[in-house]
Amino acid sequence: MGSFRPPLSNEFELTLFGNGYGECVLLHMGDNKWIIVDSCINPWTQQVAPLEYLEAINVDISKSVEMLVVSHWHDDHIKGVGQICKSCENARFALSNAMHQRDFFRFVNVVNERPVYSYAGKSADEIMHILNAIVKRKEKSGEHPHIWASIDKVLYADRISDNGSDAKVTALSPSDHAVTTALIEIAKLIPRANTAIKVESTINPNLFAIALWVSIGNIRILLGSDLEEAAHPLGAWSVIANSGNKPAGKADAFKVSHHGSKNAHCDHVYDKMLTERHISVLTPFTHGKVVLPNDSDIRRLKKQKCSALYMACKSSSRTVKHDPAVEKILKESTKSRKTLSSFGRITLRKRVSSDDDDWQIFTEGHAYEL
Amino acid sequence: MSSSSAAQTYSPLFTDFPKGTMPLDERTRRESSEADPHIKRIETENRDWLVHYIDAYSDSNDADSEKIEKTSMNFEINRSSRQPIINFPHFKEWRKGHFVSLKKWEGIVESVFESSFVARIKDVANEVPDERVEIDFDELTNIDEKKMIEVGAIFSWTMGYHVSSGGTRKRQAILIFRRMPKWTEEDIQRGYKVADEMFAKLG
Repeated sequence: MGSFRPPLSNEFELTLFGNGYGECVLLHMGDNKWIIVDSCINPWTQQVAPLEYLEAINVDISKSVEMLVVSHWHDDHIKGVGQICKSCENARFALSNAMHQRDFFRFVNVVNERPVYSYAGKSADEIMHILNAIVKRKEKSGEHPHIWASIDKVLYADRISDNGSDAKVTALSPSDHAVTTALIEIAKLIPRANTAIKVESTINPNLFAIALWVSIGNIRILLGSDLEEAAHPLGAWSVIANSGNKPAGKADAFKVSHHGSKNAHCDHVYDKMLTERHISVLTPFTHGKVVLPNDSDIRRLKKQKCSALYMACKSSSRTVKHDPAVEKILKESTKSRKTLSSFGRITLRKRVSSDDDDWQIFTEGHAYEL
Repeated sequence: MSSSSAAQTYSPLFTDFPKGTMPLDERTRRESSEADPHIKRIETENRDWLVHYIDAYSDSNDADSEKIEKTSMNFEINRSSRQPIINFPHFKEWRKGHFVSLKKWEGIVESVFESSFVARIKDVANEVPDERVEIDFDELTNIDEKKMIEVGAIFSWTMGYHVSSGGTRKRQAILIFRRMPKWTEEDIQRGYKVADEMFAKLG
């Protein structure tokens, strides 16, 4: 990161981190006030990516991070949120309203009773950290340090002292339909007595993800999280894009939903919510033999009207060498092998209320333009 | 290293067994001394040798603690005369030789195919980034564990050398699936209690 300077007080910044499995968005809302959306780990340093970045540009994370949004509880969006809760003492928490139910709390707490999961299934641990942090802060200050996010709810509102511009973050999801579905589905997650402990669950938290609309002065951003069309019978994104209540204007930058997958694509979003010169950014995702975005996803994304399309990292990177004996065993014992060490970030910056300015785009690590 | 005056105390000396190396019994230790040069210089007929060795050098800079730690004998020692000096929880296994671990991974199965599975493996020592590998069922140490391979199953994969009782060294990987315990009614009820209290506070 070296001499990378922090943003100016009247400069908006969006930084997207990706490691091939996880993703995190960091927003500078002006006046050295930051919002973290989700979390991931830098595989090389094992540090929480947004915290590592903020420390590198000399931001006091205990004071300057004003909000942590946990868009949903998938592993790829949540690694490190426990550490963020601990370090960002001034931050409020925004969680999906789908999690605001007794059964979800029971699921997390029951799983926490038997911490037999090792490297998998850590999402429950991370959520537990957040819930504990919320309880502790509430007991200490008497105020609720959290917001349950749902469609059209304003999560953050402020005014930049430099030019008086309004800064606002609004949730576009989960819809009432998704929250009702969650009431039924989450109950199925709670373990039953005399059943073997399992790591994988059948529920898809993407259906309850928080998509965000960020406006600051004349800048508008759409953060798609992992929200999929299937979250609503009429198509979650279609409903949002066609809603009369959606925030005004079109976005200049778009964090592509669900790693560019087909099941999160909606033409209405491009027509009604994004400018034709917007910048799209996304992260890849691999699980088993599933790789997102795949070749056809990339072709589709490239066909959309936008000025640039950036990927935060590669889906895999150069294989790391081990001790020769270990290397030989790995070579003999595996049919294929990839090291999951790709990591990169894309930073977009623009001065608030300056129509003349173009976006400044910075990439680091394995980030690249598609 | 604690002092020899603490004869009746239970102070473990070398509890951090290096990367899974297994101790040997007396006979195998003698027979495999060529395979491990560190053993030769401290060989003795009874198993008090390590305590004596350590005590003799307890105040000396000559104690070669690195070599002691590298030998295959640095398991936990209990100094009480009423207790066995050395605990051999897997005596029969050790008699066959020992295993020198070089890398230990923990994996979680992500996809299962006809004769192989894809897993994400994590270095337990956290020294290198995770890897995604496709492994044939044939690599299982116990082929009966094939039925345990399902999405979300967790396994341990230890790589290193097996040193036979004759001192022959051979590369080896041990891949064992983890038996998951079952939830008990107590687990569920305890979780519910805490959850309901938490929900009442945040509701």
